[in-house]
Amino acid sequence: MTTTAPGTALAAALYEALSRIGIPVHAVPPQLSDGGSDAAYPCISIGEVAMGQWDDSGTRGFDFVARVHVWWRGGSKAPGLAIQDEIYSVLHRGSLTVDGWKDILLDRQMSDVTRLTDGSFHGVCEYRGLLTEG
Amino acid sequence: MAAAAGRLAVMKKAGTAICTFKALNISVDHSPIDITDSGNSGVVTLLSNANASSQISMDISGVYTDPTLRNIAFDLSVTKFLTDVTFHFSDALAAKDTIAGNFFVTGYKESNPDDNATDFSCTLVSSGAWTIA
Repeated sequence: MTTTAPGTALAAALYEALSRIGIPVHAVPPQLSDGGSDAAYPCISIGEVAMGQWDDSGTRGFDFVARVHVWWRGGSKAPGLAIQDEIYSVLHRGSLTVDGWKDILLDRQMSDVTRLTDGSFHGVCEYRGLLTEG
Repeated sequence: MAAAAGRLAVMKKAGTAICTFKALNISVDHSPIDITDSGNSGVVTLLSNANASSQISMDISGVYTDPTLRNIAFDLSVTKFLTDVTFHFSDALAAKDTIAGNFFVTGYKESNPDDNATDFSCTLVSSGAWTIA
């Protein structure tokens, strides 16, 4: 029986899946010494993953929501929306390889874009998934 | 007396757990014999030394992970009458914590929401006398 929660394995699986898009994926967005530099953009960061208990009497499980952030700079939302679309293509109703766990489903719940005060854009999407041990 | 986690209850067929579950419920119904007549002034009176029928019901629900119950329910060539069924109460007492008897699968349902896992529910009722030991 699996005894380790899938937090680390899930983060690795999300990283692997998001890396297929072809832009940098981070745990935390990088901070450049030159704050005006666009060198780090666009990029994706894997944000908070809320793990809820989804056990039954004999099997452990998790019902999770993972936030995927997109950061970009420019004059419009279009580049980030395109990246969010690519994330959707990779994750929504896709599968994750989570070591020691079996993914049951993965669905996008919402997405949003806001403009930050420094002129950059921040997009966030929430993906809900179910994992059972095995 | 002590509380017990519900997940420790188990239903078995021939000593093997049939399924894992989100909820496993057991109940018993004793239907009395009504002997009310005109002399009771409209107050229901029941026979004190016998009852009309007694039956245990079990209903199980959970996330679908195994086809055992589905196959019993939907395969017309498979009997719905299950012998050697035991229900082990969650508190695992030294005595009177296990019901044993024969049960009939009277209903099974699988739900397939597009945005969630497949889940199931199943109902069984007892047939004949059971024991508690």
